[in-house]
Amino acid sequence: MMIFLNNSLPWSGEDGVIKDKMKRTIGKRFLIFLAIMGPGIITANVDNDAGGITTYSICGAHFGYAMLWLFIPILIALIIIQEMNSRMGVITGKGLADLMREEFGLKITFYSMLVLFVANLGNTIAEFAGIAAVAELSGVPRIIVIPICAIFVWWLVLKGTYATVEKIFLGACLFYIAYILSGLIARPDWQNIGYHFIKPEIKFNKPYLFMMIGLVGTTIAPWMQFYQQASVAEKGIKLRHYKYARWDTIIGGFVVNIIAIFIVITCAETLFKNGIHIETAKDAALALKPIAGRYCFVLFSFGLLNASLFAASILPISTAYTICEAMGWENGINKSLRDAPHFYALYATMIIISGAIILLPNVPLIPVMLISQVANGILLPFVLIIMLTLVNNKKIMGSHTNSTVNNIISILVVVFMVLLSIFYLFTIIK
Amino acid sequence: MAQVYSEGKSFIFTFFSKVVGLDVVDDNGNLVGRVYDILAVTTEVYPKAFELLINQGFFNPRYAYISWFSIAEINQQVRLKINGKNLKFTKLKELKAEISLRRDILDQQVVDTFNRRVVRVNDLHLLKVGTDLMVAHIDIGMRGLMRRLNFDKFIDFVISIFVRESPYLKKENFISWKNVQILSVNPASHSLKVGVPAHQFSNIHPADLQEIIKDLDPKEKLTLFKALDLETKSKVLADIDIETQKFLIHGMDIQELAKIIATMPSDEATDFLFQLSKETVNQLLNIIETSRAKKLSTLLGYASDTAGGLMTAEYIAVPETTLVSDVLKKVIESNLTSEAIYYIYIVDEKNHFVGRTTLKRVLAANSNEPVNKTALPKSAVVHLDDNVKEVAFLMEKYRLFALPVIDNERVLQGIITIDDILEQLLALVWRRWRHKR
Repeated sequence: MMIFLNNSLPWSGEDGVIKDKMKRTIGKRFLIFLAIMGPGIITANVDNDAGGITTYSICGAHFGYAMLWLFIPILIALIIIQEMNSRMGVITGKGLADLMREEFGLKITFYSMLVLFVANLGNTIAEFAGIAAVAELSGVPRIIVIPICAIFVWWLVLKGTYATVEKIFLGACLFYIAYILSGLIARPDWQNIGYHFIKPEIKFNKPYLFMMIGLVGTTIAPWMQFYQQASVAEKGIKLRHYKYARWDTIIGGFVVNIIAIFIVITCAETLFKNGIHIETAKDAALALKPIAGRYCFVLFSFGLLNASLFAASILPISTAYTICEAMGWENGINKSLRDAPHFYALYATMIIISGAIILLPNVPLIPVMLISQVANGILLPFVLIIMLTLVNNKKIMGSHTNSTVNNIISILVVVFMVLLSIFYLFTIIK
Repeated sequence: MAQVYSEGKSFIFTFFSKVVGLDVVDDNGNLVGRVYDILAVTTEVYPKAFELLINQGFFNPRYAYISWFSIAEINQQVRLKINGKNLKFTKLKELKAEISLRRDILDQQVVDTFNRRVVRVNDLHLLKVGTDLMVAHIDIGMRGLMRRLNFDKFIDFVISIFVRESPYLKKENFISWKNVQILSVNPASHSLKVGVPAHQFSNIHPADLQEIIKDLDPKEKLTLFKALDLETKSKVLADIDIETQKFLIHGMDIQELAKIIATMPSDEATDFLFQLSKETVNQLLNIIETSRAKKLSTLLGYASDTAGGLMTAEYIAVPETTLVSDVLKKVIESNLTSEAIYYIYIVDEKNHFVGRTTLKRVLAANSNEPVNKTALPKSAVVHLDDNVKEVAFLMEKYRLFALPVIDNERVLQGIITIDDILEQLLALVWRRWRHKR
């Protein structure tokens, strides 16, 4: 944030008497972008968590390149939705949970938070399962790895400041390159890949449709909206820097999709061609070893560890933060345990339950995941509709409500997501 | 039609969440709607209900505004004096100056001026006098949350089984309305709906006020800040962090900014001006009265960690031959802080530093003596380009509240008071401490 301080002309704005008249050079703009970036890129990357990697691996292994085209509409939907959050965070300086409480009252907010807690707890358990899977791949017993990771997560978030934690997370985003490398090692057929991007292909059989829904569902999840808006608000990004925040969201969307595409490519090029069926990301890594070689296996496993640990650090804190915000309890890592007891209780509960479930022998993980997915599926339509109402409320957004074009696209996206969620729920319950 | 209202228990205190949703019946006992909201005026200490807002219909709700005079009784239901046919149901109006308990207070953030923090309102505690309703407290507690969710009876029951004397059951987390400042804005005048009474914030230390402002969202920050009086504004601005400072003065009228700077002590004003662009500073200096502008522009010339940058131009200096009685007059007329008036500096006709005396010595002296008779034998001084550490060292060594600053020709330029040095040193220590972590 030092960059602003050195800038001798601090303000500019539509109504300000005092205006910034200095033209910014490209270098200076880039520096400002570096200071602003974070919330969008981090949110998008946490999305490529253990669950995401599993879904993309299965997609590549079972369907090859057939679903690559789907990543284009997913990218558009992701950017449209997250941009609205980023904008609301900048304009109001409040998180989504705050706005929800103020505009829709306590009851709706409380039950949303209850569902969010269940959904995020399930996701966190999945992250710890991802960590355990990597531990087993590398031959270390999970009884050692899980407690170490749980303590690491606790320590990282509670001992750091927002700025240092954000830098560490941005660093973790870089490690996703592991998946690009493993994709390249698999020697993809680029012509074929290009062809599948421009030629959509829908097969009306059950596994194909399930996979499509799973792909969209894993990329756009409710916690992302709460997390991104809260971190934009927390970071205190100013309206005059909003365009940089928008780029943060757009770049985040692209990065997350490129990584996902490379995971699909890795598995399509190796597992799909050899007709290997997998159930988890761990299966994928194991199956890669004889086909694509040791390096590909190591990179793939490392990517899974990084993604799981990264998401396991963010999900609990994001959940505790969102819920405290909604309920009006003191929150934030700069408060002491005495000042913010609810915050720490929620945070500890998430980490301890997740770690404990993975350590317990014979806990069936599939029902846990299903509950979490159902919770996500129920919550997402609500959150999206509430967001559209808020972002079009002149009292809240002033002149920064959605434009007509923006509204048409976002309503289409929301309707599509709502239908998909309902469909997804039906398929899961059946 | 049958009489549907019943004579229930009457109450003195109730909660807004218990009033919302009560059946509303007209003079014939016919159900006309349900309580939706209460509008209040703040002409007295406690907001007093003056209009009842009721609604009917679920999918296409219609609302009717009923004057409080038309209410016969509020108990287990609200009974009106008028006939239901006279009610006009319309769409929801946009509120102007009046306060809506539902939209302006419930679930919103308010400032707790007693504990100096920002809190979220879970419920409102209402006082009933006859048919009049007044807001007595706001509820920020867990029990308020449970009441809103209709879990209160169940949770009370469960807790009373396990811990009979639980503080949860005994202590309500209320804040008296007297210590509450709401933050909703009147859309017509763009100012706070409830004006900030002078006493409300005047007993809060500016440092606490800064903490409160930092906790608010941008819109609320600005509205609250705008509502403060000029002097409080200047105190808040003087040492709030730079980012917030910039945010608060963004879009502020330059005339007002000049007035605010005029009320700041000159060292703080200088620090403040340091953050602004050259262009703005020049504009401001043109507006501020000449003698002060001159002082400020001189101070602006020095680096902020040297004696020159730290010093203030507010001090008392008198020529050697001034009579003690005149010195005292000058002290009384001056409007300076106690650190600044404790020492009186003695200068010659060309403003060269000669010596200093203390207020105590002047008070003890004969009133028609010249002031240089009371002068202390030795005086520590610092030069314009001496750094903070040297200044601090001298202050500690000679146990001084303030040190005079001179230039190369021994001309008195200003003084440095101990509070400014302390601030600098604290910043230094703080930086080191953070570094170690």
